[in-house]
Amino acid sequence: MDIPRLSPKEALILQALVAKGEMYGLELVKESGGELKRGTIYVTLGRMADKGYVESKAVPQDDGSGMPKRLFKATGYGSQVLHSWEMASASLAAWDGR
Amino acid sequence: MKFLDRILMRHWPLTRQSLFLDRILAWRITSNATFTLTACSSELKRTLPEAERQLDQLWRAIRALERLRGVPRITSSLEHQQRLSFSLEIYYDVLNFNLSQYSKLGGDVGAWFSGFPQAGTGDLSSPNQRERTPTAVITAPPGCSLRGLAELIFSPKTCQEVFEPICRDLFDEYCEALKQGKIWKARVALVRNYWAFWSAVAAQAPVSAVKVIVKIWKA
Repeated sequence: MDIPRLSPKEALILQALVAKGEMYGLELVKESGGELKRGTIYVTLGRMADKGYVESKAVPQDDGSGMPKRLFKATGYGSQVLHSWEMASASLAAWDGR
Repeated sequence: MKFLDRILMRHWPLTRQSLFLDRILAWRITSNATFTLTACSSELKRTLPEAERQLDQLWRAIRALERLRGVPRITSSLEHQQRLSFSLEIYYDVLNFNLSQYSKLGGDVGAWFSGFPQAGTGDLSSPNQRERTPTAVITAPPGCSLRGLAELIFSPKTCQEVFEPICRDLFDEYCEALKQGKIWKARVALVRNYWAFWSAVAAQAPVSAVKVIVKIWKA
């Protein structure tokens, strides 16, 4: 079985999504305080969706633009991966401190 | 642009006399933002009943514009009565928008809209300015061309998940800035989101290329 990997940016996104529930991409960028860039946030989210960490849904906008907004949320699997990643990080940090 | 001009002239004979409306139409299509100002609407209903006939022509112009590539569909199945009210809504919305754009003039709404809008795209308080009206320009909403480009290069799934949200953000920020009458803020939003789009292309292109190669390899 492949062990799921989580980059620091993916962890940051998952943390925000787990904490806040559903969020738009731009909200994630603002929430991160500059750590996430608007140019790469959707690419990262797309990859995370491929891995099954997040899921998204289109929210149609009633303004005739034909462009829906996309709302992202963490999947159960994503939350589990984040939890494991945080535990592993804490464990390794403790090992480092010895 | 000549093509657009021709369409407008055919479907909307008042174009030359109503460049201000033309401008409004353009802004409506480029911004597509939702603006509501009830007081302004009721004021207009009282003072501009004759506008309804002309708004029907406006509607036809919009239908013509909808058929152009890049301009999103506004709506497709409205009855005549609804159509008219829809046109009126558009009209009010964009008037309100223009009111916010020229906020320095917006103190007295009644005075501003006491008559049918005449030609003029600059400082509308100055009659001289009205005479030197530049040709109105109709463009697709911001982000439309980027979206079209992304659809050409990337898969539909990638477009939906990666590029459509970027175009949507561009659209939202641009319209929000225009709504506040901050032209420079709108321009900054454009530049910032164009940069974001091309950053996303640079980040996504290698991944998509590898996916395509793997797909071909497996086939």
